[in-house]
Amino acid sequence: MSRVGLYMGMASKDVFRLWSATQLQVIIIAGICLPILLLLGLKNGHVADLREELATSPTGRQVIFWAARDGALLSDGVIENIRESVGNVDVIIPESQKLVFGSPVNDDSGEELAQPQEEVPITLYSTLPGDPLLMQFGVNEISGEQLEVVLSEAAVKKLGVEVGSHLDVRLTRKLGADREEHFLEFKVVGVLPSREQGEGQTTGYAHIETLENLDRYTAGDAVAAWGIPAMSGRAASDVYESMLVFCFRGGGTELSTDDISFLESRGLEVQRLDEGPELDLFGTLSKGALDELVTYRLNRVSWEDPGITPIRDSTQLIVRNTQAEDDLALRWVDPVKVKINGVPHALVGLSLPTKRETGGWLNTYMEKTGRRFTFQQSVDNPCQILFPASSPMNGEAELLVETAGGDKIPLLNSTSAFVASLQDETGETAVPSTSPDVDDSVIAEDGGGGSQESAASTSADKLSQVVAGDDLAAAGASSEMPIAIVPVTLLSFLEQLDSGVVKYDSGSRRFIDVPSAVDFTKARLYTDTIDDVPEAVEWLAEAKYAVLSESSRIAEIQEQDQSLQILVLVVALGVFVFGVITVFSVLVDSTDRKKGTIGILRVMGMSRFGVFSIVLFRAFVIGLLAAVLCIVFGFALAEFLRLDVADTAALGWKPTISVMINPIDALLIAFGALLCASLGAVVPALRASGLDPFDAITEGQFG
Amino acid sequence: MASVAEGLNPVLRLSGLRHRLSDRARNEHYTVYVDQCLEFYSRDFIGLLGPSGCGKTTLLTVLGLLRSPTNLDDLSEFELFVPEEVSRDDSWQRIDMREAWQKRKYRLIEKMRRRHIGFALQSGELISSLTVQENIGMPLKLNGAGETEVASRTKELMSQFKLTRLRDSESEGNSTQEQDSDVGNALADSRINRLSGGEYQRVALARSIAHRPSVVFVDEPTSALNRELAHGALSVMRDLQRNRERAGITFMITHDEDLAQEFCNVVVRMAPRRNEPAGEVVEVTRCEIDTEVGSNE
Repeated sequence: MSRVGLYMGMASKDVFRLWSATQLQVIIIAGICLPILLLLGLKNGHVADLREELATSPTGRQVIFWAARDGALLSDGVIENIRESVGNVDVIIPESQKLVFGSPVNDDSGEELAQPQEEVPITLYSTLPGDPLLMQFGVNEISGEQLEVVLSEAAVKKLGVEVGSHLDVRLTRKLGADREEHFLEFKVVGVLPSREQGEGQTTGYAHIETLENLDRYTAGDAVAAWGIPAMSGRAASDVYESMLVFCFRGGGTELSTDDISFLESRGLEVQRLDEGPELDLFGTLSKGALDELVTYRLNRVSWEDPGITPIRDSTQLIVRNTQAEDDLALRWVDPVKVKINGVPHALVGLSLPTKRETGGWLNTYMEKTGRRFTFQQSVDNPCQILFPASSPMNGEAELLVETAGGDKIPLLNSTSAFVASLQDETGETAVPSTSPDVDDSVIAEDGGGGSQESAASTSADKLSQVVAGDDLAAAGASSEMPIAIVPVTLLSFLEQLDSGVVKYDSGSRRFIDVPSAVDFTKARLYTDTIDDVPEAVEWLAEAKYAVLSESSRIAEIQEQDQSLQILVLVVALGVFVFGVITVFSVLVDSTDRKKGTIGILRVMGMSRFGVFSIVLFRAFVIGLLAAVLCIVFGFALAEFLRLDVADTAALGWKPTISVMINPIDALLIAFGALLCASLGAVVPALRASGLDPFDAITEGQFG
Repeated sequence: MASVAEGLNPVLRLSGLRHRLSDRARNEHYTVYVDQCLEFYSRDFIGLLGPSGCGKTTLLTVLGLLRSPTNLDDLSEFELFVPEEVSRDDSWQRIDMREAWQKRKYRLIEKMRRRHIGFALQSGELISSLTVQENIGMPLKLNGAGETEVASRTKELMSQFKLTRLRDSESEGNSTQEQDSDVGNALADSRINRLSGGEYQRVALARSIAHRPSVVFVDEPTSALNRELAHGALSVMRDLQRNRERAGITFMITHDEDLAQEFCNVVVRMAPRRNEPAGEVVEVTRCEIDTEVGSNE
């Protein structure tokens, strides 16, 4: 057996076989450590009580922040960035609220109510699935698509509904003189207690998508999710980057240098056109027009890339401020290539003034067969189209323009109306577009060449020829694909559609401005635990958001925890020192009483180290027993103190105290007990090992 | 067996001792003188006689390596001859204890004391937290003996010293007295505080020779034993010391002249020194040992 094992065995036997002497030492050390253990438990329990309310309540983990101090508006991207940057974030809910008016749909038995019911104003707040505010009441999911809503108790009571009921919500909006009203049916999926929402408060929570759609609705935009089109006043405006100016040739009637300077000062480049299909407006103007008129093209100097930089000045302003005599300005957009019912076409935008309008004299140069729209027609309905009479598109029941973005815009074929107007002018009956003498296909494809006239023609033939002869291809338009005439307004919208500035509202059949994304200025953020709140608050404050949270309370609790920890540490230190001194004095006395035994062991040849080891290890065993005793009693006492026995007769006097001993604390105290016993034994062990063997025998006792 | 005193190294040799004890509190001192050369050989049973206060115990502490001689510088000789631990014959190793004390070789000194010296002192010195068996086996354990050897030796010594006490044979249904059986020896597991005075002393004697030391010191063996018991215990001890391979020596401090005459083949007499607080060895007488019967002639 190794000597160390021998010494440990002797020490252990000494402890247990002389238990009557040892037990007091065990009790003393356990008694020193137990109060510290309980003190730690009381501290932990107190702090846990303070934290419980915050930890279990959603407000504990909640941080409300808003972009009040130069913080970025809360778009989707910004919110995602916040989530990734802060870390430990459970959910972020942008805040929005809307006032709506609701009324029940069904009665108590579930029967649909015949009479309209009294409406109740409901303030709707935004929420998302996983909102702790709702989850604490069992509402874990809420759908925006399904129009679900969680109502306050007061709202439920006033409406006479319950979970599962439906209610009608009336929406109203006004734009200019237009006023609209719509009804949506919501489903009640939860009820919030009055204590959470305030007594009498008729409030509710709906998915953020619902609130966003309400924002769009209120702004007059279309709400595709609800099938509600945009208000008429929300129609987009046509904008142009180019104009065509027609002046009489010569004699000071052209644009002068001063005119050009003026135009340049308005941000316009002036380009005199000597060739190109714009000269004769794609065959709309007569040959004589080219001899008498000079055509200029004005282009806006673009400074938005990408995007449209529109000419801000009206055509009237341009005309009035140039000295060119009888000049006429037309808004212009270069032809746009699209597919109409799958057939590629080049759309040319022609909107000309009537005789009554400024510059109507240009109409005198129009080929009678020149297809064009008036300004008014263009404004009234941009989605019109004029085909050559021979165009097979005239036989289509429905015409849809397919844009590059995939939009399908229905067009009204105004060809027959136009032809009819020509008929009125010529006084002749219109005939079908096809004529055996006219090669429509050639005419349709040929972008160049002059008008074709048939020598042998009846009035019908003549008209048909006229009709056939007004084929746009003869005007010198692009030979790549057939040409159709549309209001220049349509081309402007198609251009803006391509830029993403407008969109086509199929409901109202008009182009409307693309509504800007709904950004929020305020949001609720929930961290995973209350201890993550300070980090979130710090990050948001640095990002220039105003912040409201319970972080100050959390910080207070943490400070209190630290203060109490220091207090316990100081007390523990003092008690520990007292314990070491106590153990020292007890062991010194014990060692004195064991002088004889120590002496005989030394006489038998045990080394000083052996004696030292025995005394020290004996103290270690005592410390270990004391630690076990302390922990057992500590946990038992903690359990007893926690017991809620206020109702019992025998123990009604006992208060219920929160005591939480965690295993780490228990281990620390156990270690403290061992250390206390061991440290207290060092000096006695040194003294024992230094005893003269024979003196120890002669002077000592053999206890 | 021929006399071991002739032509062989002694087990212990000491001469020129002037050991001075001081009591600083009382400002007193006492000196023990050994002017002769004390030589003791294997199988010697040495009686150390003298009046109280003449320095017998003091001399014992020096011889037993419990205290360093205070006159190391002019000490003539102080040697211990011990069996070599690993040897194929009866070879002995000489240990110069004067040099060991001078050079403060405390580990060597402790080893010598642990391995080669045994003590059975006057006052009670058994370890109260251990049983009889454990007390007796302690010297063996301190020397690293295994459990089997300890158990065997302990059993042997308990039998030799008649340290047996039957268990309740009626309760066990055993009508036969089995004094040698561990199962039947209740004394082996007894605590020290349950022993009679005679048993206590015999346990101390058994422990002193458990590890087969070269030198055993017995101080006043009759203090707790009546004459008859003391005679029996000492006989056992003497026989065990003498009748083993590499026999050792036994020192017995006693006032009993008759006991000394009966057991001792060497008698060392001490007496107070005149005109100074001191004691000295005044006489050393030796007689031959009857090796056949183990008694003194």
